Amino acid sequence: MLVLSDVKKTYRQGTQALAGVSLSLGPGEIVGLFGENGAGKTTLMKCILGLLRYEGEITLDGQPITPKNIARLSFATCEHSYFPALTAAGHRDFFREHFPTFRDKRFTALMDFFQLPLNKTIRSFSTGQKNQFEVILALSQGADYILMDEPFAGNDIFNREDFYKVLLGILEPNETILLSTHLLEEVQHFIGRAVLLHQGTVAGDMTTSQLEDEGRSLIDYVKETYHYQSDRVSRTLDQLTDQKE
Amino acid sequence: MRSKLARRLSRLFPAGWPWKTTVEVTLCALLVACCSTVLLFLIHFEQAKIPLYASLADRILEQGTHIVPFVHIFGRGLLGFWIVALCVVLLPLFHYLWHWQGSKSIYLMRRLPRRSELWRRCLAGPAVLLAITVAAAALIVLLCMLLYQTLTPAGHLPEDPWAGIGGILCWF
Repeated sequence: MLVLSDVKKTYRQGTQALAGVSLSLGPGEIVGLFGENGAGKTTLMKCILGLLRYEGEITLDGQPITPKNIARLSFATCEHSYFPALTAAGHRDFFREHFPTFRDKRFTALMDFFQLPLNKTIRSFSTGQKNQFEVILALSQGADYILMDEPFAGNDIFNREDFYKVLLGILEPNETILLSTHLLEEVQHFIGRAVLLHQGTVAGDMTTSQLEDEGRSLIDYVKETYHYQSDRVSRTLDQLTDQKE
Repeated sequence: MRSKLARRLSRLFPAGWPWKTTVEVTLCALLVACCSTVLLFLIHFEQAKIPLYASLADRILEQGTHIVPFVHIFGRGLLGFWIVALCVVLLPLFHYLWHWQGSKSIYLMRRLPRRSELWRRCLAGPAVLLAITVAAAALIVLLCMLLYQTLTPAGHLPEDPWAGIGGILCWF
């Protein structure tokens, strides 16, 4: 169980990115992390991974996250964390060396599925291929908790849909996914729980089965939580039209 | 065997770093430093021997004359090695910045179970190259000392030929 208790993060310039986030992720959950730009999604993931200093407490099965258990977490980011000048095979060797639970079979299967070349440097890949490779590494690391921050930015719709299907097919019952994305419609049938961040706090947290029971879609839930004003476009257009007249 | 060595060497540098080029360039620079040091030493040595001769054309030595101490001939012979060493010392900075080039591989390095891996890969390669530079410089100094001692005509070595030997470390 990954537990975050009152996690706060303030950047040097005084911006409060996280204002006391409490959250727990259990084994086998597929959680969507949503929020407007600047809501704190990326910061939250970086805090979990220890890439940023924070206040509060983050534990993994009751233990603080240290080099001893950090291999249980993996990370796929739209900023990319691979080595551009290294080949895919080189990455496989690097991960084998550093992550004892590296899933060789999964790596090979995913590389084949996406038809990615093994002996070319990653910098020679297309943007979509780079994203795919980033996710392949995160999924093959052998981690129990896989954090993904906008991993499909730049991928076409067919690629993304394929990926969701493959992901659902390969995940083992104990593997947990925390997926940050803006692609609500696409992931609504793939995730089991939605966590909504707003201005550094958890604004909503619901399972998709709860939403189904209430007869609400994920989009509706998100719009309600963020008090989305559906008429704001027409109001603005009206205003502009009036000004013209 | 060779690939094993290459793999070991590659682990001394950041992943994906063109370590072969780095090693080759450093070794070439050291070769140039070695050759130029020996060549310059031999030129200065020949010049330093001139006052020993009463007649240079007939190669007749003048009794009671002594060649200048080694350090005066060797001079700033280690300048080339100093330049190589300086470049090697700056390498870790480039190695660290490498993890921001084209991606944020720093994220991966910072979440490795072996925390020291980032610093090991930034520092180990330059440390080995620096050790090779120091060893090469020491060998060249020894070679020049040997040449100085053996090529100086018998009886014309100064009383203390190695006086002020520490001065050769001065690079300016």
